[in-house]
Amino acid sequence: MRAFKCALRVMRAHLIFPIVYIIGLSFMGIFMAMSFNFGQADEQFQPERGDFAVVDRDTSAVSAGISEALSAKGGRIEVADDRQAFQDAVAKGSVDYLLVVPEGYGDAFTTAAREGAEPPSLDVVFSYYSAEGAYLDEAVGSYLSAVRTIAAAHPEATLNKVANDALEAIGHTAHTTILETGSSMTEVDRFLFYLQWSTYTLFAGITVCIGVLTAAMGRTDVRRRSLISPLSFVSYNVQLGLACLTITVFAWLWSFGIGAATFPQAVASMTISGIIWCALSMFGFCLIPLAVGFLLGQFGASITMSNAIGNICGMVVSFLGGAWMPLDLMSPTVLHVAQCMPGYWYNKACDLAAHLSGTPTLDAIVPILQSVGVLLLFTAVLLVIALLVARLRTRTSTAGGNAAAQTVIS
Amino acid sequence: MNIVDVKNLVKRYGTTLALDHFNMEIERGEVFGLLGPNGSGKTTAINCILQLLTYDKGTIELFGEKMSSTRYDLKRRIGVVPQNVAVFEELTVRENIDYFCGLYVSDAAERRACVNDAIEFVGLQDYAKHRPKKLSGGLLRRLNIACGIAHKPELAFFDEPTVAVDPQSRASILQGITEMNERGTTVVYTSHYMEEVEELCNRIMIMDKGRTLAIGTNAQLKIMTGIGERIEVDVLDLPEAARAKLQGLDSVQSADYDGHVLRITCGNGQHNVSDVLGILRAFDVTPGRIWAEPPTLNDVFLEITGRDLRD
Amino acid sequence: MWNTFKYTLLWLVRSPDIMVWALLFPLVLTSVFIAMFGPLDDMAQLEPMRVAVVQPDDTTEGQAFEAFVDTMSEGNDRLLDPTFVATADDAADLVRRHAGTDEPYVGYITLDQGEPQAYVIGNVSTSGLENLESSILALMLDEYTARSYLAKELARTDPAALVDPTVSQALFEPMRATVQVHVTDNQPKESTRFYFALLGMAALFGGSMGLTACRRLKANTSALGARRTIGATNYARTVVATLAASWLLSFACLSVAFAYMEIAGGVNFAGREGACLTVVAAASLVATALGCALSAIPRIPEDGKNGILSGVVCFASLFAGLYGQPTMELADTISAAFPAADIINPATQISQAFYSIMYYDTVGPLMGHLGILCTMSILLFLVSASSLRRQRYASI
Repeated sequence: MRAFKCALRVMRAHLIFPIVYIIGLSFMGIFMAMSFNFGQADEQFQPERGDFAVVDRDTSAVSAGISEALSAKGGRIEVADDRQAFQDAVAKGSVDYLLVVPEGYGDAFTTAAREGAEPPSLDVVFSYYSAEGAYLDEAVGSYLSAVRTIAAAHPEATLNKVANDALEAIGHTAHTTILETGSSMTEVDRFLFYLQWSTYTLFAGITVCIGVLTAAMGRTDVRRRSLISPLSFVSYNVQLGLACLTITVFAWLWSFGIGAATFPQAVASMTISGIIWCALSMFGFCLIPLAVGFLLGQFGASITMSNAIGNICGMVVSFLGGAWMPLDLMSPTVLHVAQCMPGYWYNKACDLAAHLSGTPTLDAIVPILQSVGVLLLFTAVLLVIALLVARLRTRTSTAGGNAAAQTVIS
Repeated sequence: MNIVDVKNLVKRYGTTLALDHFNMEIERGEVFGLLGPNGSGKTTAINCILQLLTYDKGTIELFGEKMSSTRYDLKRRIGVVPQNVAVFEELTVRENIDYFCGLYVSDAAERRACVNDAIEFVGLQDYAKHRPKKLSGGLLRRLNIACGIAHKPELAFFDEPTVAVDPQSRASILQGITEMNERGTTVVYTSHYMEEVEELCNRIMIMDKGRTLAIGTNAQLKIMTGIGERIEVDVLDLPEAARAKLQGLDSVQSADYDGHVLRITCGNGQHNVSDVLGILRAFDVTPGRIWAEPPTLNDVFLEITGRDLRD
Repeated sequence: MWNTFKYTLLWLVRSPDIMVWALLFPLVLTSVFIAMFGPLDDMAQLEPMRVAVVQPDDTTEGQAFEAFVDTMSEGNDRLLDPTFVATADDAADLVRRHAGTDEPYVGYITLDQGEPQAYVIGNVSTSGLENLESSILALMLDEYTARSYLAKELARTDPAALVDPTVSQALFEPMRATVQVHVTDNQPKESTRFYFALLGMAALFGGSMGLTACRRLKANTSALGARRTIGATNYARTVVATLAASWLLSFACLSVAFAYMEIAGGVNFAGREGACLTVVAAASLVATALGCALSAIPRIPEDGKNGILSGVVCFASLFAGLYGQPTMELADTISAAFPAADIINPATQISQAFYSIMYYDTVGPLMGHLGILCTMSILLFLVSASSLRRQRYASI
């Protein structure tokens, strides 16, 4: 096991890489998963709330009513009445919905309602998160619709009365009940999100660390020494592979461990077999960057190169795994491509495993096994290519060469 | 006027004294050999002279003027061929030489001529468009030299330029350095290959532990150390009295006999071989083959710096 | 100086390690973005919500409710995609069976003793979209409730008013109360900000170019650096030329990515390409300076500095919310709690500079961000100055 021990010593000399890439980057996922608001966990239905601003140039009962109607659906933010302030509010995302009520709007609106004319419209600005804006807009529409009806039905009523009656009318709401709630589900989702995000950090981290190791062990003369020794080609590569596996296992245990330690509630609400299958899925995923790093090493990639490739592949894999945005928002074509990438199968396995309940049946386990199997298939293909490259490389000029006369550039 | 004048140079690495009141004077037109075991301070001395290293004490003058890291006018007159092949992997042979020459010569036309001369000088005409990766060890060394001397310096430092080079390339490199010197370049040359230094250098300095141990011409050093030739004689039966007599000679440092061969190490002396043969004849001993080797610089070096292994 | 500039550019372009970071990285990610967001922009409108509806009885109220559901399910911008079922149990069963599938139901609605009721699925995803959908569904029913309350009140107090066409029109016909306007001349598509994020992150990763350039400048980090230091060209000019070349290349690579976004990806920069490229230039400058500053850290192996750069960029990008929609929330929380964190984070400054191009019709805010980016660059260069100016070392 000389080569194995030597490889681990080499890695110890480059400790900065696992520290930055495996330990450091793992906190990215932790930060992100911790910060997310995973919605309500209680039995009571809580409608969505958005931030709005009403620029009230009218100061009538109707405009006050609009503000009050909106207050039931969100929080009011004060925005000054000038274009720059509007732009600021939207650019910085401080409001989802900005409504401008022009002077005399209340009177104009009720007059139009009584005459059966088209009511004057209000200018609104939605932020980029326009879904919340649309929701708040619906609330304004609801209130004004009530104002319009009351104004038309009671032509003599004062503006104040119309506005207040409309508020009273929209105070009658329907009852909404949570049909099915999983209060623990949200914590599991948080943990699942962490696992999902780990596709990026694990991919980049493991690829780089393995790349560093294989680059160091693969330096022309060091490699040549190993190849001419009585140690067989297979034994040497197996030992090197074991060292790579050790690093991978460390990355896996660390990433899974810190996730489990940070989200104990999630782990507690999962079944034992669910936790085990999640961990195994993650391990299955970790083997892919291991194979990629190993392959890069066989190509003689430098550390910078492994770093770049690891990052690029990591991002693509995490993207197509749905870590950046939900897969259901993607087009069918992208979805098909995503299904050819490991991130998809890893997430699928984790998702299924996390939601295992009671004693898992064979029917529940088989789909997880299939997903993990796909991950192992990825690894196997990459490793076969890596070993082929390694074999071919022993016959190329870079296997020998006058290393003593190599240029020293860094 | 000395072209290099180093006085009382002291350089410490932490508690290690790398240069201990080191002095060096080199005259214009010399090929000056700087010898010393590994870690003796050769490269440190050169790097101090080139102002790559700070030093604790001492003065360095080049071309009669005080050297500093911003004396670009002085730097322009210096060429350096470093120990390591320091070139850009991404640039071709010509581009590398052009770049490094460009650090000294700003005029494009003049530089083009310099680069062509340098390529021809090191014989890399057929490789001008190759990248360093495609070059063999010897060709790389030659590229390394071309990058250092393309601007035709007045003073050139060669720091072990022939490491890992085949005999043909080495011969061509040494010949090139001789030609440069003939054209007026003063050369400072460090190497571990004693025969190179012996062949090339007018004056040789042997240093160790940051100090100058000896300095002079090849012959002067040999006289200084008192080493004469080594004589070996095939003898079938040598009486002990004869060996003792030989040992007793003033010019003989040691006389050993193993039953077949008599080995004698001589000091400085004018007639060592005839003295030895005279004594053998006196004892009626008929010698077989006789070898007499003159002392080499290697002997001088080992005599001066000792035979202990260095780090 | 020109010589150094020219050859620095040449060797940088020819280093595969460098070009992978500078060019391949933005191009690959841009391609992924194009594949992802191309169809997304078309789907930006909310899809009709799948809702189970318990078939209301044949009473007036029931008919009114059914008519309401029908109205909501008609037209191009319909909000509901209803499935009528016989009983509440059937509805609940249908919703539960589809939960977690590709085609989930938001919930079901029913008219219970004249009162509309919504039953929604309670779990929420990271996108928060489910909660919003159920909120919109709830709001629709609220609106229906309010309207039927008004109708009942009118029927009770002033039945004559109900037959007044003006009143019935007000009561039953939908009304457009608002018009969406933009506070800027050009409103970019939502996906544009992801491309900005990508450019910001790619720019910062380009710091590896500055890092490598510095390594080859300094006598104590490379034999090449030593050789260049003893050259007869003013060292300061060598440094400036080298850094200028690495800045230019990183800017050029990003510009290629930018052009690729616009041409291949069809990303609309609303005719403000010039301003965007200015931000790209400033971002490249910060990245180059960041590389220099990292290179000045003593006692860290040179290869390790690349790792540190990646770590710094990843976290800076994370706190700038560059990793997609979910991370925006984290970024917002942090910038609300520690506004100073925004000022020291180059990734935040870059992304805000891009947003300000799109959101403001004055150049003031953009100039502010560019100013901060330039100040940041100057500070980072200053940090590295003592290390870069140095020609002599205690040991090499």
